[in-house]
Amino acid sequence: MDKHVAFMVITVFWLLFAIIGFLVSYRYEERGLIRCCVILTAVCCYLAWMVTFVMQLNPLTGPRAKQKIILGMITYWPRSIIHDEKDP
Amino acid sequence: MGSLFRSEEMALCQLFLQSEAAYACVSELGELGLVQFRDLNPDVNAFQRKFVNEVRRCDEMERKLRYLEKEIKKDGIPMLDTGESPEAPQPREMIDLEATFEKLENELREVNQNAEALKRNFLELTELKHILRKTQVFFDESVPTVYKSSGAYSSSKYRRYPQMADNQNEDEQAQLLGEEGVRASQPGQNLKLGFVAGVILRERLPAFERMLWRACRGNVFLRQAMIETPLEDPTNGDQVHKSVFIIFFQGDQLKTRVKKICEGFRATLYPCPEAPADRREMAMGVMTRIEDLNTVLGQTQDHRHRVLVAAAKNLKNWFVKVRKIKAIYHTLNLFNLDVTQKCLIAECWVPLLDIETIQLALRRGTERSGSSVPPILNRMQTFENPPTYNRTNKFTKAFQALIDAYGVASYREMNPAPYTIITFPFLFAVMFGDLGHGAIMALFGLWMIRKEKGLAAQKTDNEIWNIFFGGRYIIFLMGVFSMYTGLIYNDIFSKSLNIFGSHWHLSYNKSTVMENKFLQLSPKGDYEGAPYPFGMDPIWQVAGANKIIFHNAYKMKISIIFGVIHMIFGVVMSWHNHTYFRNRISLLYEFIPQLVFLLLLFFYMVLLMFIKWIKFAATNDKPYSEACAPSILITFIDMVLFNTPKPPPENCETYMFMGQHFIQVLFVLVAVGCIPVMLLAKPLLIMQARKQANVQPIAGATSDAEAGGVSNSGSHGGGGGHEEEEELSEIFIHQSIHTIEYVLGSVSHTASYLRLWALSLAHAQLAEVLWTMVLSIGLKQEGPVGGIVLTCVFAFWAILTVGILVLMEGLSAFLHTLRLHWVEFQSKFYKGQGYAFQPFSFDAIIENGAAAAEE
Repeated sequence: MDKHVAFMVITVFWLLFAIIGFLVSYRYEERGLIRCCVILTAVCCYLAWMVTFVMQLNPLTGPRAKQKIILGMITYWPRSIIHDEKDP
Repeated sequence: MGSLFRSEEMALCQLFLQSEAAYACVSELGELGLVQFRDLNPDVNAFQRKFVNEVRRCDEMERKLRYLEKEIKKDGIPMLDTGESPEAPQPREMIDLEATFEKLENELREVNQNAEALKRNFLELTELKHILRKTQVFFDESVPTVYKSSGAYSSSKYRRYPQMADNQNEDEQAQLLGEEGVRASQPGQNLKLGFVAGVILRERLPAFERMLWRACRGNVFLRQAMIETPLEDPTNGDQVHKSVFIIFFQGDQLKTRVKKICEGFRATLYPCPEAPADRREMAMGVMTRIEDLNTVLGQTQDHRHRVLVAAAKNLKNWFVKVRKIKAIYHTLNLFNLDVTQKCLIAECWVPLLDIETIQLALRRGTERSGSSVPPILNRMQTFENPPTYNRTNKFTKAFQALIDAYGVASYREMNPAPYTIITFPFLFAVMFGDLGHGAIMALFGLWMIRKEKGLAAQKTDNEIWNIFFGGRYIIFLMGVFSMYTGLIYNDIFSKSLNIFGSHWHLSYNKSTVMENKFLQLSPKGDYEGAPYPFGMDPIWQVAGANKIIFHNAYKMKISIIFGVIHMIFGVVMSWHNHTYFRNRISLLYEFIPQLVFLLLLFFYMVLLMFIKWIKFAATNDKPYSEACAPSILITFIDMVLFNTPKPPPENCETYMFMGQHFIQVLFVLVAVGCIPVMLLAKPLLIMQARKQANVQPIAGATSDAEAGGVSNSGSHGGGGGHEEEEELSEIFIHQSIHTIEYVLGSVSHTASYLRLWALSLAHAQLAEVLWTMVLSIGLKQEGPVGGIVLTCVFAFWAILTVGILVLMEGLSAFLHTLRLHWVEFQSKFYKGQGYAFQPFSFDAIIENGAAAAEE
């Protein structure tokens, strides 16, 4: 659910960016140029975000860290914990 | 479509101007800057044209103005620069300007000559003053050793100062003898010692002394003393150091020889009386005259200053006026003179949309000149290629300059500049992505934009600064987009931001943590199942062990994705060109196979990337687990070479999706089938059309195929004419070259886009090196010494960050982005065989003139 929400929010944002930019361009004389710039910006930025999002969606390998990095993560990041049970 | 997407429509016009109105009309057109005149007298050399005399007169006026400017700058007088651009004067006003400049130049030359004469006189008197002062020492020193008759003295006569010459008879020259001389001389023999006094350059004195000694065989006695203060050379104003000298000799023969040597060494000889009282009297006279000269010199300098100050107020305006007059007459020389009708005939290229504006300007010129006959502007039909005119503003000018540096677009060809406005900074940012470095660049660009009026007014001649300032909008956009890709890469000076909280977290047994030096998080248990919402998860920056491997895989794929899409966009642009030029053959048999080729091979590879990302996950069971994920590159190579893939690991499928093998074979066969279509279809159709045209020779009729072929090689002129047909063999050769270039280019250009990954990786690693080896060392220090060390370390880090990572890496990324646009993108659609529209414009002429004057 979280990933779907993130995907929808960003997609709607860039769509709105493109649409609003398209509409705002009618006020100016060089509307063709403004429209071109706005749509290209939306497409490029959305594509960069989307590729980054999708390639992290289903990771095949995990990050590999040193021991002190592990201890740092356990100390500072709230959802990283250390326990006494057996590791799987 | 906006005007920038395609060059302006141009028209060749013929212009008929009345002789008396021609000057004013051309002046108005020069103010407009929208007309490019053609030279209708190419065979006439420069000295035989009609208005060559007027041009020469303007040259002379310009020379006088440059002389005035040089004198003004020499005196350090500030020149008034209002920035205004006065209108070109009327022809009769030219005579007034000539008279004014002539008078000013003559007056200034006269003042300069007077000043020089006065300075020379001043110098001579100053030197004489020093001689009279120094020789007192000479004569006082010689008293114990020189015996002289009382009351007698000698002097030399010189034409330079006849009024100062003494009337004493030479027979009464002093007899100067030493004790030994008296003893050694014969009784009754009369011995005379003479002397000359003068001033010589200090550096010539040693050679002068040696020459005297050798030429006179040691029979002269030289004394010298330095003049402490430097003297001004009246010719060029240099400060020179000189020395006073006096030479004692015996006999007339030595006197002649000594004088010749003095002349040879350019020493200046001065009369010097022997008696102290006479010397004092002469010194007082010299001082009086020096004071008088100073007064006169001061007044002369004041007068010169007043003249120059008055000229400085108007000099800029005068330059502008003279340059405009000269430009007008140069332009009038391009015209044809019709003697019978008393009018001038011109031909010019004009933008079609501006013809009304030009008509208005011509009408204004006619009214100003008082002529009653209106000028006539006729459009003409032509088969020549018009010049290319892209209407730009201060924002788009820099991007258009980037494109024009590669080649000016052919007439009415699709202009890449509007798309480059965003794709150029964006592709730069893919290489340069770093929030911190991007912010530095964006702030610098923003500063130049905010201050652009003030900075533009300064008009420095520093070439590097002019390049930066000209590209300020590019720099700003590059900075902003780099900040965006910095957020996507989650990289700010090689560190990560953790805005949303990492979506990786770990839970390990204590003993597991303590016993292992390295631990790798598992995608199964340690990953939340949803990625970091915006950009790269900060875990990959923190956990450094396999960061590079992960980033390499990511950045290679993002480079290929953007590269393939960029190239497809370029091919689609060629569709616009073919449609506009009604080139149906190229549309069907070039554009479509090119697009199909690119889509079926390279876009398919991009799709494979997405399929792999979505279908395969570590949490999935086989055959879609991480162990079964195939390599995209190997899959692509096997596809193209029709290889049988090697057996997959246990429980894994050979292919990613059902029917993949069939689809891949089909795609490759269709793509390969497109190559002979690109290669042969167009030439064969042109050949066929020509055969049909030969069989049925209809005058003026052209088939659709023939028109398509002709318009590809010729201009987009009207019907009724026949372009010279290109040879059929050449058509085949050209088509072969284009096809081979496209097919091989698709492969090599796809690989070329990998530079986006390479530069991005290099940039990130350099930033990390600066962090690891420079700044973190300072941060680790403790205590008050640590504060001092950190300050020094930070300064060092900051300098390296700006100098290497922003400037050098920025330049490198800029050049690579430029190549990606010029070669990889524009080769898909751009011919770039046009020539730029260079209108007759006073603004451009004056700007170039001012730049040339400053050099």
